[in-house]
Parts: sequence; structure tokens; C-alpha cells
Amino acid sequence: MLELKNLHAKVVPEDGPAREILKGLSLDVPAGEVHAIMGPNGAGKSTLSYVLTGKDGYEVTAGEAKLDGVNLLDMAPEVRAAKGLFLSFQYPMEIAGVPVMTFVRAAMNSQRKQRGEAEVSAPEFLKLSKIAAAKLRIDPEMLKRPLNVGFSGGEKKRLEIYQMLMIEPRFMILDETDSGLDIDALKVVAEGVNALRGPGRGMLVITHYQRLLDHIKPDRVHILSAGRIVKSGGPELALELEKSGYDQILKSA
Amino acid sequence: MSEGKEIIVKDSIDQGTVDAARALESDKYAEGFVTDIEMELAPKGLNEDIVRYISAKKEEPEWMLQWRLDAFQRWKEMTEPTWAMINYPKIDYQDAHYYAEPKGAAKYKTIDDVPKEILETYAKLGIPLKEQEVLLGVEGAVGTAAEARETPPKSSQPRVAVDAVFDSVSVATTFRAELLKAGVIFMSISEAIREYPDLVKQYLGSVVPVTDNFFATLNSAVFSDGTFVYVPKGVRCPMELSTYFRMNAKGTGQFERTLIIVDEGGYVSYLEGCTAPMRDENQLHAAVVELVALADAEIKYSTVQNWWPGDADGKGGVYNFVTKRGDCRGARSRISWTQVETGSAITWKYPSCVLRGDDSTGEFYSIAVTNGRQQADTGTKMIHLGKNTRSRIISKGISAGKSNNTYRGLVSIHQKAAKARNFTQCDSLLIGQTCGAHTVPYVENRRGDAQLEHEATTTKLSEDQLFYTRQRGIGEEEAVALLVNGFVRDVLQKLPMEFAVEAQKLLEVSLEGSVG
Amino acid sequence: MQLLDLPSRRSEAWKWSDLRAAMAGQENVLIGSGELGSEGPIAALAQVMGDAYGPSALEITAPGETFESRITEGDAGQYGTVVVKAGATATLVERLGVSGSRLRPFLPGYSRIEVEPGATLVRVVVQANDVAVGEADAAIVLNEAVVKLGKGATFRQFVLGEGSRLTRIETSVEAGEGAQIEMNGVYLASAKRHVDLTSRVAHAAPGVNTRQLIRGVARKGGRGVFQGKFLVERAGQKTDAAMAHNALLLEEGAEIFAKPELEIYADDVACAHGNTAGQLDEDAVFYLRQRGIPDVDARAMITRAFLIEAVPDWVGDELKAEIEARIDAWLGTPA
Ligand SMILES: Nc1ncnc2c1ncn2[C@@H]1O[C@H](COP(=O)(O)OP(=O)(O)O)[C@@H](O)[C@H]1O
Ligand SMILES: [Mg+2]
Repeated sequence: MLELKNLHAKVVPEDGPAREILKGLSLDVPAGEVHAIMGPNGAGKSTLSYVLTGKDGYEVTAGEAKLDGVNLLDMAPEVRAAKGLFLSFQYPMEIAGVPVMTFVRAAMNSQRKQRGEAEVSAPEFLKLSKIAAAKLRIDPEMLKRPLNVGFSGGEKKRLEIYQMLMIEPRFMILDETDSGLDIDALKVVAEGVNALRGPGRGMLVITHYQRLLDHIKPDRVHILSAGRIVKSGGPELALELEKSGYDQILKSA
Repeated sequence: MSEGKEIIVKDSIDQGTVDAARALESDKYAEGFVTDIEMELAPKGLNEDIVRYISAKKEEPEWMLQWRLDAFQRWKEMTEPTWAMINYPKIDYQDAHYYAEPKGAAKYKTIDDVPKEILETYAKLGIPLKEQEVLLGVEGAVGTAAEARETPPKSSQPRVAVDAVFDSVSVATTFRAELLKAGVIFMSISEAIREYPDLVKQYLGSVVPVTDNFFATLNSAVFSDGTFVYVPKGVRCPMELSTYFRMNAKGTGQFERTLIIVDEGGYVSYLEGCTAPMRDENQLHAAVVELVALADAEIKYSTVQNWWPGDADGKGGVYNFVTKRGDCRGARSRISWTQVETGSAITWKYPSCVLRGDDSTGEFYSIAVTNGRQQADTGTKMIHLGKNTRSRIISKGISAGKSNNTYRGLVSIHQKAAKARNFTQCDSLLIGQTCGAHTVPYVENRRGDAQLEHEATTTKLSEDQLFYTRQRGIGEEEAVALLVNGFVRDVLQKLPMEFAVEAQKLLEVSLEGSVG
Repeated sequence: MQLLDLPSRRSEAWKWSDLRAAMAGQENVLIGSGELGSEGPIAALAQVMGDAYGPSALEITAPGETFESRITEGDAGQYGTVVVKAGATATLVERLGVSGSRLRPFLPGYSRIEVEPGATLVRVVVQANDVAVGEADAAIVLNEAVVKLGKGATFRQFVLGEGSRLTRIETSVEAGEGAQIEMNGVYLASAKRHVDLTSRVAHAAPGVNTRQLIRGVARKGGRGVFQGKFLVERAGQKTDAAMAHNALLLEEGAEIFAKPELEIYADDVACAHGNTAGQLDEDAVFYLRQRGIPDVDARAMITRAFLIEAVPDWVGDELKAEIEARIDAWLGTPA
């Protein structure tokens, strides 16, 4: 479903020299699978998520990235989103003055419009929202407040998953969604995520901790270091990592 | 994309393409049509005879004529102010008609006398003038009765009474009779001068003195029409009142004069809308609005200003030089100004509050959007004279294209204004690299127990927020609109519901083509 | 002789500091032979007055130098240029003071300062007259510095203004790429004193960082004026500028007038200003009193802390102590 071949990408800061972050990254996530990506700080995990979703300030210098055989890299961010790509941000944005529900509804309708589908009606939207909020134990009052403004770290992450449930993407990237969540919240969020697992869908879960993978069981685990996948394995790789740390594993890789 | 507004003629592009692109530009201003109707104009120019002509047209009493003539004498000795951050070629005050009315307008007795063209004009602008249509909630159409019957009446929908001012005359005022039952006088100022001379004499010029400033003095000499409202003691006006100003005739200026008096304990919410056709020339709109709130009275005044802003190259557009001031004359009175300014080539406007009564409150909520070559210099003055007076200013400025947008405001605490309070928040947003956003607050404090706070920020639209929004599948234009809406939300919420929706749409249209 | 057209409250930049009114009856001091310069009233007056004196020029090349100048009534009309050469660091201390010996001293001073690329200038201006706080002071003190900053230059300025019949200390900065600016100030306006700190910073190149913090207090019959303007020109992308002016009116009859202004033509900037004018935080006063500190002392302590926050460490220990002592003396003197 998601195919990355020899991906090279530079970060191009506005006020500094460009730096290569991804240095020949290859990865294959077949439809229906969930893959985890682990790796030390600064390895390029978030960079990968931005390159795939089309953030400005990153330049792909070589390689390719395809979703269902279609080249992602030439498309505008919103077009990629309408193709079913969703990123749960490591640092969700605060958007002043735009209530959560207004925002999500605008997103759903934009995507539907791009795909030539009918807009979601108000009652339908409210129904879906109620279900998603209940699943994630989000107080519906919270959804009337401006997006992420004044929300705690954990609340923001929960709202990312709420948006995901509403939008029902086909390929999801979760960038450290577990950070900031307490133990109960982690469970709730994981249940929400698991609800979206299915044969037509794929997922890339970026995390540092096994405890998320206890709830969202990955099919494969990859270790990303210095811009490359240096080791891949089954779920046991994450456990091994938990025990011995990156240094050990990287040495043996 | 700011460059998108610039049309550069390249060798390979012929003039036809350029014109077509320009036409597209102008398409955005849906109110830019011209009504074809026979007009009666005063001769061009400004002199004593013209002042007499206007007064005679309005069948005014002698005292009113004298008032105008005095103003005209004073005006001749005044000079145009230059302190605002606006630039425009010298205005030739002799090169305009100071009076324009549809033929026979003075004699419209009922709505049925109003020519079809004018009714259609207002319908097209979404302002139904026939009361039964308003009652049935028919929107924006002079539809047939049969059509109206098919639309179920929305009883919950608030009704709005309208005074329709077309060039220099008020052509219709709806719900007058019903309002009068509640004691509320709602009519054009021309009629009020004839029918309620004592009230007019008592209050006209009492908030904005005849010699207040160059444009106000000009207005005092030549004002044409506007609205008069009187809400008696203890009366809550049963519906929203509004005036819709339409400038139609070529080569004219419009000199609106509005006077709203709310007696002790009364309340009124008043809305003002305005549009003009697209023309190559610059048209002058020099208005004076006076509000008087007596003890415990409250006035909410909302404006959606959408005069023709001129084309992308700055050709044409309305010069909007406006003096609006409210006098919180009685204790515990309250005046709030809310404005959404999207139109005009030049805006020079400072709706102000004189907080004379103890414990009175003044508020100013503003959204000003400039694009193309527009220039806006707008803000407010809060003059604290009484004890425990409070004021609150929230201003949101958005600049795009090659425009300049200035907030200019004064907060002045006078010696007797014990425990006065002011809070001011001014935020500016820049879209593109060829516009300007300016903040010029003046703060004068003469009281140790006053508490004044002012905050201002100027930023651009956040790239990170834009990306986040686009990642959720929202296209760039829409993403900008969404973020801008968020930026101005605090102020939009101050508008009456129906106006807020309209204002939101207007913002989107005004900013179209500003990113890319 | 040419009588100068003095600015009055009708001119926008002088609306709260009416020089014409302050100098009424004293115009005869303005007898000079020079033509009026085009740069502004203070520059023009300094030049007109200082013709006999002649311009001074100071060039600083060695790092770490400190220069002191004392301008008293004998030096009226001082004007000159200062250049801090590339890479050098210097401290300039200017004392503007009047001993009160003359009836109505008039002190216009004007300097052009250039801080070359990579150089650093610390400028400290102490305006304090020899007249007891609370007594009338007839002096008119005008001072203007026009500062040009090269690429990567650093400019730090602190101004203490105690005012007089009319004191105006004006600073106008044009910043080159990546310049760092800190402009702080404290003013103390007691009875019959007028002190005006006016400044303008033009961000004419990318990446300039500006911080301005002005704190002031006024007592009955005193007037404090702050006019600050940040201009960000089209070329001033990535400007990061913040201005804050906070003032306390300690008594009824005090006046504080402020105009913190932003004029911005570049989009990728973060500019902010904050302005407060009011009274002491009563919660803080209560907190101190609950700890046993008498009301008067509590107020003095909080006011002192409020003012001293704007006195930066980089003025140096000695000057800092001197400035704090002046603030203490001012606060300790009942009006
Ligand atoms: N906008 C940027 N400017 C400069 N460096 C950046 C930028 N974005 C990322 N980097 C650098 O790229 C490297 C990879 O970052 P990131 O992808 O966020 O790592 P992580 O694997 O922790 O998510 C880090 O060294 C980070 O500092
Ligand atoms: Mg990361």
C-alpha cells in the first residue's frame, strides 16, 4: 500500500543551510498491516511524516514514495489527504477561533468534494461526532472550543485521533501519539486506533515505547536511525529494544 | 498570492485576455451593478445655492437651512486633515453632484409608489422592502405572493426594519407603523426634521458639533439622507432597525446623516449596510452618525461596510470619510460599535464613545480587511469623562495585496474619570509581502486609579497552521479563510446572527486571490 | 537672525510636549545665524545654538573603551558625531544636567552615532537636574541621537529621565541586518516636571531583534510621555521586535501619555507592543502588608522593583548603583 524506495530528503530551514535527514530510506507497508517505527531522537521519524504529507521546507532529492501505486510527492498536502493520508501530528497545532467541530467538518467536506462525493449533512455529522467522542471519552463541550487552544498535551493527542475517526483515512501515520497520554487515555486512544484497522487500511506508528505497541499490535517493527531503516523484524524487535536500548541494537545492526 | 492581483501585460498576452482577467476580478464584487433609473441631479459644484437647493428639495424649515449655511461658511475656512496614513489625489469638491434622487422620489407615499427598479435593486442586495415578505422570511427576492406562501414562515427569525436610502433620498422605511405602536420613531432624517423638529433641534449636532472636523462640517452643510431613531423611556425596541445605503448615480457623493436617541432605560440594536456600483471614478461618502444614550440606555450599532473598493489597480472606489460618535450621556448607559469594513478605496473612520455618564460603558469591535490598493485608517476614541467608566476595544486588521491597514485609536482618561478602565487588543495579520499593517494607539491618562491595558500584535498567517489544515484535506484558499475566520471570531460573535453570516461570506470574497 | 518655528501641540510628534508653549517669552535665546537643518527641531536647535561651540567628533576603535560626557548649561547646543569602528566595543555615558544657576537654561544636544558592522555600543543617558525633587525646574532639555547600526551591530541604550519644565530625549535608530537592539528607560515625573522619551526604530534589513522596555512613574503635577515607534520596512523580514511601556500614576493629578506605534510593511515578522498605565497592584501591596510591612513602605518597595526591572545589568555595577540611588532618592522624597 505504502511503498518508499531509497528516499533521500533534505530539511531546508529558512534561515540556515540545508541538511540531509533521510538518507536512502526504503519501506513497504502492505494494505491491512500496521508497522511501527522506532528510533533515537533526531533520527528523522518526524521528518519522514512531513515528507510524506508534503510540508514545505523539505526537499526530496532522490527516491520515491507511492500510496497505492500513485506517486505522493508531487501532490499538494490537501490532495494527499483526500487520497486518504492522515498524520496524527507529534505537536498538534493550536488554531485560534476555529472550533474543533467546524474544523473537522470543513476537512471532511473538502475531502469529499475532492473525491466527488456528497458533503456530510449536519445531522449525520453530529451523529458521527457523538460516536467518535464517546469512543475516545471526549467531553462534547470540548469540541465547541477552538482547536487545541488551551488543551493539555493529552487532550490534543486525543483530538488528533478524534479527527482520524471522523475522517476515516486509509493510511495513517501516528507520530508519537502516545506521548502526553496517561495510562487510561493510552488505552482509550489505542482502542480508537484499532477500530480503524482493516483490510483496506495501513498504518505507520512512530513511538518510543512498547506500552503503545502492547495495545496496537504491529505486524512489523522497523528501526530508523540516521535517516535509514537499519533493522526490521517482528513485534519481538520492539521488546528487545525495550530491554537493551538503541545502542546495543544499532551496534549489532 | 499577492502577485495574482497584479496584471502584468506581457508581450504574448493580448489586451483582451487582460480585460477578461480584470472582469473576473470584479466579478467578486456582486453588488457592483448599476440600476438604470431616471435621476434628478443638483448641478455640479458646491456653493450656497446648492445648500439652499438641497434644503428646498427636502422642504426644510428655515432653522435647518440656516444651520446648513452656517456649516457651509465654516467649512470654507477649514482644511482637509492630513494626519491619517492614507494617500489620495486632491479631491475637487466642485466636481460632484451633491444631490441625486430618482425622479419623483420625494413623493413616494407608500411602498407601492417605489419604482420597480429600486425594489429590484434592494431585492438583489438581499433587502426585501415589502413588509409581508420580511414577515414571511422571504430572502432576497421580490417574489410572488404564491411563492411566499410556499415558504413556511419562520416565526423564530428576528424581523428587521429597514430604511432604504438610495443616493440622496430615503425611498422606503418598513415597519414604521408597528414600531410607532411601541413608541419607537423610525424614519428618514428628512422626514424627522419636518415631523419632529423639536427632537431633531435638541440633538442634531450635539454629539458631533458642526465644526468638529472638515468632513463633518461638509456633511452638516450638504447632508442628504439617513435615519432618525427615537426610542422612548423604558422601551426595548421590538425589532432590529437598519439602514441600507446604496450609492447609484454617477458623479455623485453621498452625505448620510443618522441620529439615534435612546431615552432612559431604552434599548435598540441598529444595523447599517452599504454598497455602490463599480465605477472608474472615486465617489465620496462623507457621513455623520450621532448616537445619544441617556441614563441606563443601550445602543448596539453594527456596520457591514462594503462600498466598492476600486479595482485591483486602485482605479475607482469609494472614499469613505465618516464621523461616528456616541454620547453615553446618562449614568450606566452603554454604546457598542461593531464594524466589519471590507469595502471602500479609502476608509477614514473612528466610531467613538464619549463616556460622560458615571458607570457608562463604551465598546468597539472591528474587523477591517484591505486588499488590492485599499487604504484603511480606522479605529476609535474612548473619551472617559465620568466615574467608573469602562471601555473595551478589540480590533482585527487584515492586510493583503498592496493595501495598507491602520488602526488608530485614542483612550483618554480625564481628571474626573475616577476608576476608569480600558482594555485594548489590536491584532494585525499580513497576507503577502506587499501590504502594510500599522497600529497607532494614543493613550492619555490623567487618573492614578485608572487601569489601562493595551496589547497589540502583528504577525503573518502561520505556515504551520496552514500546513496542519491542509493535511486534513482543506485546500489552501479555504484554509486561509478558515484561519482568518478564527482570527476575527471574537468580533464576528458580536454581530447579530444574520449579519455575522453575511460578514463571514464577505471576508472570504474580500480575501479571494490573496494567497497562492 | 532667524526665529525658529518651534513645534507645538499642533504638530503630531510634539502634541504632548508643547515646546512652543514651554519656551514662550524665551524665544530670544534662539538667536543664531545658522539655517534650520532639515532633520528635526532638536537637531536644528542644537546647531543654531552651538555654532560658536562647533561640532565635536569622536572615533572609537579600541575595544572596551568608556567615554563620559557631561552636558551642562555651558555646553548648550552641543552636537557632534560618534563612530564606533567595526568590531569595537564602547560605552558612552552622557549626563545631561543643569545646576540651576541660570534663570531658564536651554539645552539642546544632538549627536549622530554610527555603530559599524559587528561593533557594540552601550549608551547610557542620565538626565538629572540639580533642583530638588518637587521643585520647579525651568530648564528645557532637548536631546536627540540618530543612530545608524551596521550589519550585526549591537546597540544597547538606557535612559533615565527626571524631567524639567520640558525634557525630551529622542532616539532614532536605523538598524542593519541582524542588528541587536535593547532600549530601556526609566522616567520619574514629579510635580512641575515634564519628561518625554521618544524613540523610533527603523528595521530596514532582515533579522533585526529589538527589545524595548520603558517604565515610568508620575506624581501630581508631573507629566510623563512615551512615544515609541517600530517601523518595519519591506526589507525587514524576520524582524522580531517587542515594545513594552508600563507606567504608574502615583497620585491624583499625574499625567501619563503614551503612543506605542507599529508601522509594518513586511509580512514575516513578529512584532508586539504592550502598554499599561495605572496604579500599583493592590494585591501585591496587601501581600507585603500581610507579612508585616507598613503600607507606605510596601508601596515604595513595589514601585522601586517595578522601575528597577527596566534598569539592565549591562549598564555596569557602578552606574546601576547610581541610577538605583537616584530612583530611591526620588521615591523617598514626598511630593
Ligand atoms: N526545520 C528544521 N530545521 C533544522 N533542522 C531540522 C528541522 N526539522 C528537523 N530538523 C533536524 O532534523 C533531524 C531529524 O529531526 P526529526 O525528524 O524531528 O527527528 P525525530 O526522529 O526525533 O522525529 C534533527 O536533527 C532535527 O534537528
Ligand atoms: Mg519526532
